[in-house]
Amino acid sequence: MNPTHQQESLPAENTPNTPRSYNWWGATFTFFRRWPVFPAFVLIALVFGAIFAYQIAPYDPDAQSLRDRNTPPAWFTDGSTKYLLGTDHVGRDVLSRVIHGSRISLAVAGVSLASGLIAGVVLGLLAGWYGGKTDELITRLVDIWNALPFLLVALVVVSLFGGSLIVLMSVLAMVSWVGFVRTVRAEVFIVKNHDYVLVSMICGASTYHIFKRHLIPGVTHAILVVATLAVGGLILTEATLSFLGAGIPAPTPSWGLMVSEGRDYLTDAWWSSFWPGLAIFLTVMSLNFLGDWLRDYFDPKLRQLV
Amino acid sequence: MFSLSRVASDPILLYASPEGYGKTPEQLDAIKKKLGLDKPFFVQYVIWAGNALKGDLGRSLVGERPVKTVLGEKFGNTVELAIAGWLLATIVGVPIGVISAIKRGTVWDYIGRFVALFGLAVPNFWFAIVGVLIFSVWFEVLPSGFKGEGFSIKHFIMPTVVVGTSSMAGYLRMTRSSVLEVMDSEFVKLARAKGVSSNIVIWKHVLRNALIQPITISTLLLAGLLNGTLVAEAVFAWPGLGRVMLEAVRANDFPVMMGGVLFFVIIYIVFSLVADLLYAVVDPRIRYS
Repeated sequence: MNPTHQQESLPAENTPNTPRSYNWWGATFTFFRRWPVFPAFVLIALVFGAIFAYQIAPYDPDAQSLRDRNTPPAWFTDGSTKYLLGTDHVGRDVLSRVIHGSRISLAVAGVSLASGLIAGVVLGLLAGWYGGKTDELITRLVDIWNALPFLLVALVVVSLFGGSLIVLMSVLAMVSWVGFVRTVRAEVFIVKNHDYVLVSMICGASTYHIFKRHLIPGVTHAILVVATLAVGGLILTEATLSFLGAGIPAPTPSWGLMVSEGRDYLTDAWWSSFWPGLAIFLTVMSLNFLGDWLRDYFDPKLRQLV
Repeated sequence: MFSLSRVASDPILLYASPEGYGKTPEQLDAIKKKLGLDKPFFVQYVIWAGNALKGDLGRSLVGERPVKTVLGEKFGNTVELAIAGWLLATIVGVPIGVISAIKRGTVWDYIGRFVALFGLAVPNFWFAIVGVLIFSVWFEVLPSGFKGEGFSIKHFIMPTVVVGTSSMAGYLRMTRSSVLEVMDSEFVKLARAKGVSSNIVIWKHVLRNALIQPITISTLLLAGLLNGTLVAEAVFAWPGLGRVMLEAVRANDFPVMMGGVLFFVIIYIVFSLVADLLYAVVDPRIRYS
């Protein structure tokens, strides 16, 4: 998005304020606006919860308790503090399942992002550096890829190979690489025309050296921004696939699947599909927010490339 | 445009692979023969592509009906939904984007940016379910799905919002950054320096240039929406293409799957072609250069 945060906060500094007392509200506001406090908090909590899921979660995510099924969240009259966010239709604790679900989301998004990132960055570097035929070929591949209705193809692939962690990760890796190619390619075009690259070539540096010392460091910030934005998209896609029944199979807690399971019990227990959905929403929103912030932080001009 | 025509033939290659892999061993020999699966993978593909070029997509495995009829009879419903979502995205997204850019840094801008962030981050299936919960279960003002015969506004409201939200957000962001970019350009500064009133600057100088990109992209958006109704159709039991595809996937009905994917790819290519043409129509600079 647009203005750098420094620009935005300028008027606030120019306005005449009372100098005597330190303006705590204004300072807090500026602080929150300048630094991504909220997303950072959500993401740290998420990663923490995913790593220590077995220690934090109050119950076993698969433990059923038929007597306690469809218990509402704790603050309702029928609710009990035993189950803070309530229980689902077979009496599993929603809170524990949401915490454990974060593991699946993060694992799938992380692995598919990493593999997509490597493939995309390599292709982008090659396309940008060599240009010509190589560039043509790679760009064409990206165009074709973009024409495919991805969700359908993913559904087909998952239904053929079965929904396992590996299949899901590879399917999502297939979608994540495209964004990296475009951005890295555009950035390499900029970097390679700088004089220092030329000088380096004149001095007889090998292509490997130029890649290592000039191109890759030159595109790192762009990669970081795209990666942050891509994680959100991947989590969303993973959840959508799970929701449509093409994700990790049933008892494993995954956010998309939980929303889907709770759908049939909406009238009795809306909370069992509400909370996992909210978790997806908050996670993706934080990641997008952070991505925007990073983009402005590194380079306001980058917005045109992504 | 030239590149697009080349794209046309290749996608078939890419998605033909699902058919060749897991399917062949699962079928009995007799059925195999009938469907031509006993032949090598590549030959199967050539036969299928040849027939597809002649306009014959084969028959559905489930109902034994031609794939074209299966897809064709549901297509209208998806088009209705996609167009409704597209209208929503345009009518809401573009004006908010413009306002957000013009009144940058104000409350309006923050509202606009929040709407964009929200729309891009909310999982649409969850959004749909929360909508059903609030409006169908609690307040009982809107139906939770099942479009019957005839036209009814009430049936359209929730699916439209669900379908349109994320593209609306994307649209909003794009419009906003496009307007901001133009507002930053030299000729706008010149117009302002000459003392042209800000209303005229915005309407005549900024918007006419800034809206080129949103207008051309809007066709691509419609193409995206046509295949993006999948989730909304699943939640609201909307009898459209998305549901047909979902059922086909569950039943391993590969002629329908392949036909459907081909169909979506063709739509995408046609629409991006239209986008290119539209670009030349809307923006004279492209035409004359």
